Amino acid sequence: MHLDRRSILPVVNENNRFYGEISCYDIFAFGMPDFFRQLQTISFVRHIDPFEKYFNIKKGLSVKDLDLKEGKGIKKDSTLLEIVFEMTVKKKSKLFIVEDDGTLSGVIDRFCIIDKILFF
Amino acid sequence: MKAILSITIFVIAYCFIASEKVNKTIVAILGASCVLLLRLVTFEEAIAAVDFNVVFLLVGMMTGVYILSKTGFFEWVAVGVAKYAEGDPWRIMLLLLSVTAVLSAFLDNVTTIIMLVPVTILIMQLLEISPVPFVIMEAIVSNIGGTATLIGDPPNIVIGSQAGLSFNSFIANLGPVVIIVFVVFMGTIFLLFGNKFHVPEEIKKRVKEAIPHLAIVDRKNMIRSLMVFALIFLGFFLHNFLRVEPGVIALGGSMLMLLVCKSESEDTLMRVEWGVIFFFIGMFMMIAALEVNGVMSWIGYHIIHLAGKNLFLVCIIVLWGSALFSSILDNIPFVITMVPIVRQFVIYFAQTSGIADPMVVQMQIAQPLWWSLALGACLGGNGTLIGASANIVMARISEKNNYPISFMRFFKYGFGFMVQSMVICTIYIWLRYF
Repeated sequence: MHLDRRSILPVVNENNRFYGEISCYDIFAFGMPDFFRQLQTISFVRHIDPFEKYFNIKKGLSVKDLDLKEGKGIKKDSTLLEIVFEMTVKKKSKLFIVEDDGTLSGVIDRFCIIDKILFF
Repeated sequence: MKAILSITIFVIAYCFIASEKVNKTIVAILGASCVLLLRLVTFEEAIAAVDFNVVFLLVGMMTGVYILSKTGFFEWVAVGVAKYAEGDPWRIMLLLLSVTAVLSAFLDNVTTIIMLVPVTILIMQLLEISPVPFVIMEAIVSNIGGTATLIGDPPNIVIGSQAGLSFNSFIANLGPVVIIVFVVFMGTIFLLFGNKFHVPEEIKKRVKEAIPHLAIVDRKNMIRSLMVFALIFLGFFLHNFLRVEPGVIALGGSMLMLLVCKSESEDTLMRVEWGVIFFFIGMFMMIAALEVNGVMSWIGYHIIHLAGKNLFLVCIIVLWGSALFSSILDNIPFVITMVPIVRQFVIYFAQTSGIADPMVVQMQIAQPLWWSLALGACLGGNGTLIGASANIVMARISEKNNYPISFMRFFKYGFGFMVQSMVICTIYIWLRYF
């Protein structure tokens, strides 16, 4: 994510089959304590900025530790309408294309639509 | 036959509700559907049994508290208290518990816990001490504070509406004993925790330097919602004089708050716990079936005869019985079940005492019984971890943040405080009403 500036990456299982996706937010959320979700803000403690304390990511952390939900990819024969539906209604910024056997074969993001369809 | 069927459906439903293996709303609505399908009660009787004053009060207060919570009000209060206490853990405990008790009295105590426990955990983590004793005491004191007013705890809402007791009468009758229970509770806390917390000055500085006003994310709406709440409470104080039900005041006030705060109405209304509302509706309908088929008058008659027809003894049975039941079972279905039974007590004692004046019956017979039920049902919730929703919510938040609270750990404190408050209530009822 850091080197290639990607906010979302696909996750595959041991058999190289598409499992789901991992985003920056999944990693941030893992480091953050649960009670933060109930607060409206934490600006009132900005004076101490306890980054190391609360953004607690261990070096040996693996994707398995993040308790990701299984995701569905899209098929190669999905229509443009289906793709745009997934992106706008389901709010997905990237869609992963999977073969019939579940292996990952490609990715479509918003810019594919803008570059190749809307701005050709 | 109808009575037996009503009892069977009710007992099965209650067992499922108590087991928590099935969503209680689903159980209550299915139970209500069964009593209607089997014609144990007519549709008109079932609808008449649903206390819409209770429903409106709950919807109104849930909506209003949600709008207020989005402004950062609760975080501002908690952080402000911690800063005022200069980071001293004992002073923070004293002040935070007092604030929790007051907020629980005037706002729903479960929401108070949802809002205050996360901030408490944060403050204690800054001070590098365990938040566990703090959050346990917050849950206990929220049940104490919530007992003082008509709107502080759902059992009181049910009792107030069904028994025709006003907002002011709750404060006048339960306020004094709740204050006594609270003061004794705080004294006991001092004995338990007074010297336990030692935090170095440089760590206390983290809290001393906190900036409470930055906790407010929407100052304009916080002020607007507090002003509307002030109007709502004024309405509660005057509702008897205005002859308007508190439910109407709460619902109307919350809609006014939606308007003046320009909140997204659909999103806000989605936040009402409709599951709880439908649970109440289902319970009211099942109890209606029991009432219509004579089950409640039968139960009431037998309890009175067991108690030797002594009003004080019946009050104490209601007080302690409610406390013990509420400590292990959800107090809302328990209170909804007890209301018609207590009504039977009132009728019986009014008839046998020969008192004809309804005002005198209300003062000398009805009120001691209703207050006993309210005190037992609300304060009994402190007995165990599962005794009150506030306790369960507190434990869930604490566990998710790696501070698990076991049943026995809570019981160690909660049951003792429950018995302590019941002894105080027993003496209070005797001195005040007999």
